Amino acid sequence: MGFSPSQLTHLGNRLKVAVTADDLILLDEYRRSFGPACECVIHSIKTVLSLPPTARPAKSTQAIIEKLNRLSSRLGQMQDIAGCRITVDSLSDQDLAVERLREEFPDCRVEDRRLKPSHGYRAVHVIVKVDGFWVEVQIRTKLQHLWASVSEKLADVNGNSIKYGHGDSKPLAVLAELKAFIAAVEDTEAAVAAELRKLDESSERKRGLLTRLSDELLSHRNHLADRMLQMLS
Amino acid sequence: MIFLVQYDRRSEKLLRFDHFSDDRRSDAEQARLSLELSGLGHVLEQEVVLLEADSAEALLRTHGRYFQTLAEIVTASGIETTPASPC
Repeated sequence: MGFSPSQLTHLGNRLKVAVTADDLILLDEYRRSFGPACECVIHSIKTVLSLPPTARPAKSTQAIIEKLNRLSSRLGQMQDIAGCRITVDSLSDQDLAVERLREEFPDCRVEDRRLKPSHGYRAVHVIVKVDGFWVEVQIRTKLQHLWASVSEKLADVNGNSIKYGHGDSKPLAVLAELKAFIAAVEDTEAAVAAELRKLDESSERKRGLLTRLSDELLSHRNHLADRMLQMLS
Repeated sequence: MIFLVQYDRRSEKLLRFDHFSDDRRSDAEQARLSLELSGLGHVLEQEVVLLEADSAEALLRTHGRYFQTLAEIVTASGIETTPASPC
């Protein structure tokens, strides 16, 4: 069965107030309709990007209701009912994955949250439309994923508002410090990588300098895990 | 592989973790719905979600929060072994 925009709006409005068995069954049916589109995107990512995504073919009821309440959005307008997540090692791998997805899905929409972080959340989201169904592909570096996972965990205990910059000051301070540190590391990595790409083989001295900077960055990254554990204890 | 996860956010406890082969998608979806219907009063505290990954290890890498403590997430993140990627 297809759903009209008005049916979806009414369903979303009812879910915001209370969840009944009938509405849960309707929501389940709606979410299942995204299955084929999600499968198509996953297949492309595996074959074209040779990356192993984790698919989440249907957003959880809890997450849907939370989003409906937080953004006053409509159920039919949500573009992340179906989605998948990829983690990659570095910013350059992230850029490459986005580029390949753009080639594979020319009509996709790219939300680069590295340029415009959402309350500290950094990632690139590629929104793909297949047969009228949106599928959101989240591409995160390991550092970005680490921040997002820590943020989710802190939100479990302290409430979702933590993810959006509100609530208890202690977890907010932890997230702010981690955000700044990770952004600094990744921005410097990007700058070093860009300079290295510009050098020709005769620029040995500069290459040596940049390689040393790259090693220093690695040392900062190593220190990050210890610092995070300290902050979270 | 399809994984069914039921996670209580407040207590950070994994309440249920089942897996289904890829050809049992419909069974997995039905199991998810049944689980949600049986816990109707806890929809806002408990997440019930289906995830698909090549293996449980791959799932742990992308959705570790359902299975790991904060400290485990940090130590398992692999950041201490990942070199900078210059090109």
